[in-house]
Amino acid sequence: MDESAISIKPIAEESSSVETFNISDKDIFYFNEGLVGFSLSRRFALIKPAEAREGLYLLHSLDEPGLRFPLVSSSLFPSKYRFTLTLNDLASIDLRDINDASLYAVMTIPTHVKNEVWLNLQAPLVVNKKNQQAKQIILDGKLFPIRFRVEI
Amino acid sequence: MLLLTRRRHQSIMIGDDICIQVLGIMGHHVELGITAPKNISVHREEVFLALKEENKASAQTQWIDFKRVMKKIKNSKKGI
Repeated sequence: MDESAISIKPIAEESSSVETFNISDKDIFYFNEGLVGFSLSRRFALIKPAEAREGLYLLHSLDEPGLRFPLVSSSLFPSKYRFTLTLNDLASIDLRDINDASLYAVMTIPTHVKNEVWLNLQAPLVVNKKNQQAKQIILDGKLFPIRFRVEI
Repeated sequence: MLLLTRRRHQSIMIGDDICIQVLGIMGHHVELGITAPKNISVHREEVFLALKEENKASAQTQWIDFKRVMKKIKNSKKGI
């Protein structure tokens, strides 16, 4: 299995460090429709940074340099989070067994508030671990907020 | 922009397999029925735009902020 490295450019001007992650084929996921608003990026690496606790990830685009999303896995979600996948959603990632699925939420880190993060619970990412197909599902109605505030 | 006038129960075809039917009209509200192939996503525009903005905001996360959050969550007893 080929291992390739992804470099994240230093963001802070004063920082000279480049973050490098090793990824293997099993870390690569295919979003056939991209993420909402980012339809051109299809291939992503799901990375768990060494310093992150369980449940925190970076979804790093392999098609668009510099595009990445912080993710939170469902193990850290509020316990009342339940929804039903539509047949269309199941078909689009060929999900036949719910045990093959993993669930993530895109996290936004506000810059003006230091003690909270926001989880997008209206559009979770569903990953089929078996075939590495993934999709950002849009849940109908007002069941769950786009910005679910979590105090940290 | 193409302008079409439709009555209740009349439809518009987009391509071969997308059909939008006017089901009802109630004052300022129009009820539409949409039939489309499984691989076509259909959403209210405002929902789509809001989600696009939120993804964009997430994508702008600076590494330094992500590191700060990772550290804070790791040290936090209450978790996330």
